Amino acid sequence: MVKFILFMMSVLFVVSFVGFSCKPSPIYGGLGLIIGGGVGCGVVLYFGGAFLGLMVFLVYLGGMLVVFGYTTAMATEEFPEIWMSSTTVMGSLCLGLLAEGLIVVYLKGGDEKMWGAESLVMFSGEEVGFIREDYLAGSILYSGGNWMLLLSGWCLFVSVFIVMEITRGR
Amino acid sequence: MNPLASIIMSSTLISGTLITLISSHWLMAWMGLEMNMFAIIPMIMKNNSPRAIEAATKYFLIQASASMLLLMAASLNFMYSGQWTLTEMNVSMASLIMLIAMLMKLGMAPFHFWVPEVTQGTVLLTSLIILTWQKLAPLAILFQIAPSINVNIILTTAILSILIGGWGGLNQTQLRKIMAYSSIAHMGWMAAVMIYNPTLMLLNLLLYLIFTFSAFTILIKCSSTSTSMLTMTWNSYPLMVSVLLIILLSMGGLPPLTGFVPKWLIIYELIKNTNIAMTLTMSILALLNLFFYLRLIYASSLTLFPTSSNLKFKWKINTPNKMYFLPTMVSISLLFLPVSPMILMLN
Amino acid sequence: MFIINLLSLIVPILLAVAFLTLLERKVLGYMQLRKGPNVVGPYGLFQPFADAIKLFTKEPLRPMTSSMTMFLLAPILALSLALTLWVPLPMPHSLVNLNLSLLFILAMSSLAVYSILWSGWASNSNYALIGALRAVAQTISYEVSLAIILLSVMLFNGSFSLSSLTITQEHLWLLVPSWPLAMMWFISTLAETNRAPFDLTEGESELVSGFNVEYAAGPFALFFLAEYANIIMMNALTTILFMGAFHNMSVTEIYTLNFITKTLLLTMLFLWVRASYPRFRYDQLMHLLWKNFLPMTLALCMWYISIPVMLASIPPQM
Repeated sequence: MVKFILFMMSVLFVVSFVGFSCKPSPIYGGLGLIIGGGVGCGVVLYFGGAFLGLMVFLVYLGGMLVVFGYTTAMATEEFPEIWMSSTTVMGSLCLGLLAEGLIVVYLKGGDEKMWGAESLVMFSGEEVGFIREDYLAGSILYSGGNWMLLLSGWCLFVSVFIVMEITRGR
Repeated sequence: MNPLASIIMSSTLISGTLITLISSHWLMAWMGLEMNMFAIIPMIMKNNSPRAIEAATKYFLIQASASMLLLMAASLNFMYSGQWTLTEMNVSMASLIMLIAMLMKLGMAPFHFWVPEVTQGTVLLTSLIILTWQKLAPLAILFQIAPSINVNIILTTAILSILIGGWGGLNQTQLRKIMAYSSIAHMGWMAAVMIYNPTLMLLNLLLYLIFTFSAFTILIKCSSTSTSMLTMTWNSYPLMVSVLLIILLSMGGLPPLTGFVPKWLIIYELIKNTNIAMTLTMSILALLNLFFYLRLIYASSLTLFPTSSNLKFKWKINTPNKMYFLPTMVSISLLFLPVSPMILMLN
Repeated sequence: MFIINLLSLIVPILLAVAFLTLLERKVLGYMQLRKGPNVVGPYGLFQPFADAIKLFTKEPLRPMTSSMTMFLLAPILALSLALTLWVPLPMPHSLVNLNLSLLFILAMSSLAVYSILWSGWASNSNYALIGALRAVAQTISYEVSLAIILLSVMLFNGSFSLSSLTITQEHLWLLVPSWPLAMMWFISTLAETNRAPFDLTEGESELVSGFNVEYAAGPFALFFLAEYANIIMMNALTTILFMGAFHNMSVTEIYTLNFITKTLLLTMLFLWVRASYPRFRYDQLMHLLWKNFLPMTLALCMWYISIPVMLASIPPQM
């Protein structure tokens, strides 16, 4: 039963990705991302990473995608395309769903190796003891991953400059 | 560009490649490649024409997809072998996907379609950086995973690259596109020997960097982007045309110039591994490369194209400054062949 | 079986919301020296039922030029989130005892922004769009100070769970040590629920009801219910955070009565504020948050984290 829930969440994850990658109007793409993000959080929560999942909800869905939706709503287009309104979008949606359906059927009769995704989702390393794994991961980012953190900070800083240069125009 | 922004971009560009070169964890390597990619995007778009924007977009799309494939290959490798070390890529599927990602990044056939358009769409200096500095990081990754590369794929890619690099450059008059196709062909030669002797790949890379850098330096100094503009350089910089002759002949692989060394050693290495049919094909196809270099030499140094009469024999010739080590590199491309026994001994 | 549990939470909330609408109208009326509705039942007590029947029997509008998916999804999302936010609140035993209930509440309330955004965009009307954009910017701004104030409170508490706040406040209301934070929290909750004087977005005199102008009967009722449920929930959260009641294990109803009294007093304070203050101008609203509240909140957060750690008096971190 619980493996079934995990399976359904993964399927819904892929379906939401198919939903926005068949390129409807950006607001509907944001809807697809929200569903995908929510279900992805569900997967993380399933493996015990409650803090991380809720952080993703708070920061990604509640901060970044809101700003994305805001700018998309401001950039009003005259005829927004939804999944049913344009043949192209509906065709790619059907194709994506068909591919997903085939993979689901293939996996249902397949091996148990696919379910062993714990190590990909939650950190299980050396000093796991009295502290929960997801809080531990947050602090390991600062201790063991300091070089990566520094680089990521530098990349984010540079990306502001890059975006300003690119959108500068003439 | 604002000097501050320009410094930030260049430093990120350099440190990106360096981070990929020194890293042993796949995530670090990926990080360096990403830094590299997005630092060069505003440099490609520096002169805001629609063509530059299109070149930047194409470059970004290809490199981003290749980075995604890299991440997937690294994750697959982690899933089946439990470690993230760069040199221990033991899972064959992951190695295959990584190879394809690096081929996309390098612009080797069949993923070569972006190279001429991106190189053409931007200024000469930026296309120099794309054709030289941007090759270092992916080739470093390929060098490190060389024991596990799928032999069939890489040999197919090598042959196709040499073929397309040679054939595609035949119809070009724009110099940046010619250099792009020459880059594709040289990458093919490097790929062919990678699985047999990675050190030779590094030698080929080093000499290719020297040749391309020198050729681009001349083109930048003469500020010529097409063959017809190159025909006028005998007038303003007469020494440069002879230098160009040497460099282009060396690139084409003619003995007794240095460009013969990598080709000869690669052929030797391939024959040692009984890969004779491919060697024959490669050496024949290298002639196509030589042909369009010769055409450039013909246009610039060997003949005098029809000009208007008041262009002959300038009375004042400016010596260009800021030559970026051109004399050193020309000497290397001219005279390095006798050093090859020492290279063989280092092997 | 779980349905009965759920319904025993949802039905009283909806009843409370219905009577809050009546309470608001009557209180506003008396504050403006007139009586509120007193025709429908004795003292107007059947007014909410009359309103509900009217709203649910009217014809719902589906404007032709709007996008149906978002148009219908927005009020559904609003009411679902408003009801979901009640789930981890301890009164004194919550419906679901979450370990990270404060984080859950923050996450869900940040999703409520989408209902405003989508309803404004999908209505295909410029008034609705401007109202929605203003509301979204206001909400996400005030969420920042909400989160940072919660950080300080969480350090006093020792964990993210709301049920341990009863233990924290066993001897002293948390209002006493952190009253500047509590004041800023109260005003931020006023702004989060788009309540006067921060009700620019549904400014009935300016934008003709803002982002829900194109909604008619059923969906409008859903938005309405969601807004008032959010008001009561925010007040309940304020009570739990800052004015916790005493939890006697043997007689748990004392906690509930205490808690409800304080919540209702805070709700009356909301209504009093609505009757007393004029509406903020939009730039004044943003200035208040980004230049007045946020520096103060950040400084107080640093203060409230460093002083307990320095004096070695942080609670057991669970």
